[in-house]
Amino acid sequence: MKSLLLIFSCVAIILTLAGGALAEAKNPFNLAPGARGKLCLSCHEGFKKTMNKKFIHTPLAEGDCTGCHNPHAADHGKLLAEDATQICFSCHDGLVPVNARSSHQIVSEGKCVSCHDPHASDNKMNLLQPENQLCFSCHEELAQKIAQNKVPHSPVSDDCLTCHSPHASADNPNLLQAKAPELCLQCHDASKKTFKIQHVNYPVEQADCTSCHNPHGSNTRSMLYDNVHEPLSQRMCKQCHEDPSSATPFATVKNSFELCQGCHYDMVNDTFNKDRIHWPVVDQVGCLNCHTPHASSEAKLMKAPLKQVCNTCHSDTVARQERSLTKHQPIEDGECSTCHSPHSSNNPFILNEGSVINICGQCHDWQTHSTHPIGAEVTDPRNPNLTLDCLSCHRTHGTEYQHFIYNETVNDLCVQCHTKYRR
Amino acid sequence: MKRILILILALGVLTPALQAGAAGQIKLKYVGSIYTDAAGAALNHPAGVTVTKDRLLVADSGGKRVLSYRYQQGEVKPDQVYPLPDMFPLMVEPTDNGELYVLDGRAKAIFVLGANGQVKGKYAAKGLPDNNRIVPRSIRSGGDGTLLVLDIFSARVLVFAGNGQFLRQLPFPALAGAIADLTMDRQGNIYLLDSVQAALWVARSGTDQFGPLTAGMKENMNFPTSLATDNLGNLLLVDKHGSGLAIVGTDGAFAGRRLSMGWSDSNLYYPSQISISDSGDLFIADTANNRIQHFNISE
Repeated sequence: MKSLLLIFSCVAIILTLAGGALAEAKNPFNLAPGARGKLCLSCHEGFKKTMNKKFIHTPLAEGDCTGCHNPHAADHGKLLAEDATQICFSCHDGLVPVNARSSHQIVSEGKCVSCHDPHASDNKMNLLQPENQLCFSCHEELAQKIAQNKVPHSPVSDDCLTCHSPHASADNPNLLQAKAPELCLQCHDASKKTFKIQHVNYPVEQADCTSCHNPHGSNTRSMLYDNVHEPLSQRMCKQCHEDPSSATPFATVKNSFELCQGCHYDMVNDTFNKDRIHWPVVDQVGCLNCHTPHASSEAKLMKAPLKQVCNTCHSDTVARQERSLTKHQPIEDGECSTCHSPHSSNNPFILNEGSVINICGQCHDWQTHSTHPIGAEVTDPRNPNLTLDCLSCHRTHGTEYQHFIYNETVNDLCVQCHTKYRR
Repeated sequence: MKRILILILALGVLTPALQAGAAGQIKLKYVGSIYTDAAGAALNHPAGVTVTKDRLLVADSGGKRVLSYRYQQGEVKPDQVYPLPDMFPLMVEPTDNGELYVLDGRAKAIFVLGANGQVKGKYAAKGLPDNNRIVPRSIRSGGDGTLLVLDIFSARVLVFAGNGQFLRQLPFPALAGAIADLTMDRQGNIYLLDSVQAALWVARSGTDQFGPLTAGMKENMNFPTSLATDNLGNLLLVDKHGSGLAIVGTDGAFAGRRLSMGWSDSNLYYPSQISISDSGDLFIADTANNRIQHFNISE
């Protein structure tokens, strides 16, 4: 009997202590009843209006301001108990899966308040604006394009979250909820006869729909990207691909540039008739290194805006321009082909012209006649096999110095050749 | 016996460390620059250079010719000029019988030049395993009379015997970016250089598969386009867009950069190819400087 009493007493003590600890965890400041939130509202009168909103953040609704704020003092603004970029994650952890394939930049930066009101909102999920309106407040360019589309994709105007996850996607790019075609097939029935006819009986339900269709809508029928490769618009898939009944229907009938050569014979011939080829043209991928075969938002069926395509391989060059104190306008505008011929050329650096002075002169005309002596008659003092031209002093893709010269000061540059003035 | 075992173990541990150390200690001594041929005509955008035991061969691309120099005891003297007006020679490699292989950038094909420089015709590969097109991006003599061809169209390295007979092929690694050059070291290991990722791949002697030797080294170099091995097996990479050399040890560790951008002797300006002699002379096709530069390696 004695031992039973002893055990009972121990259990009672443990439970009392545990209860106390739990209470302390729930009420870390040992606040009097009402002091965790209701008391706050007696001073922060503006919150009465906030409390009338449709959706109230749970801690606030429960009258627990101390869930986020320290009532006495804090190291962070607004008396927040943690850094503003971290505090939300103390409850909402796991929003961004470990090794997520894609994550929303503002989520990664902890800028939750860019989308959510931490107290209350008339929009669900405490969003600052209704969903699409909110997304388009940042993604303005996309919003403009969508607004102008003649062939809209209805989910886009309904809700971006039909296809995208707002915070992160564990396995998919572009915050997508699933990859194409799985995502598309959630709405589009590939077994329908019309679907098969439209796709010339190719099993496109196994392919990437976004290779041809712009998921945000377009100005072209069937919501194809605005620049369509003619065989596609004519539904002449067999011009490039094997028969749809083949075991490998998407396999191409030829490889690399050989496939494109069938139609673009003159262009390929012209490309091959030059001394210097841009090697990707003739590798195993060929034209598709830079172009997309079906349809594109970009002119000339480029895979992406030109600078972005060039950056795929020449990231060092594009990065140099980004770092450069002085920007070179054609690169800044993404017009690499102002100076370079992207397929092939007879000129060094696959330039459009043999004379660097002539190329630069197309924009910098004044400098071609009112400048330091340059041209075929002016030998570079540093190298007997070179003559002076614009590149003798300037690196066109940029340097860390003004006017993309090679040296920190103009003086340092000049004494490279005018050695007697060196100090 | 125990002491011998300890000695072997110590050597095993120290040798790679010493080799890696040696890679970091490579010093280049400038020897001279080649600006002209025997007649005093200037070089014009030379993209290729290859040194043998007694010759220095230059693909003078812009000049549309191949130049041959005598190379003896570290000295280079002009010898022959082989005009190739219909070609754009990018690389030149010697054969065992005194002929030359020339990679023509215009035709994107390999041609054979006779001993006196006359064009004998396209390289005739025999016994190929398929009819796939070959677009050679680079060629290298294998050292044992073989010719290695970097075929970027069909994504493979082709190995031919001296008589043009196909010997074997090695597919590019699946994750490779843009393979620009290859080389074979004295042990028969074949290396591939990926310009875009600035990464190296290796197929060890006796294998037909490439595996990674390094990860991408973009933070250390811009856009490497050519590579060669020195006498210790270190890899020297020509960083074309970075106008310098990058050194990678036998273990794949980055071991530093040498030389820098410029127009004066010993500087580089968009160099294209590198070649190293058995005696440690290093030649660089300093393309945009219209010259070949000659250095000596001390390790």
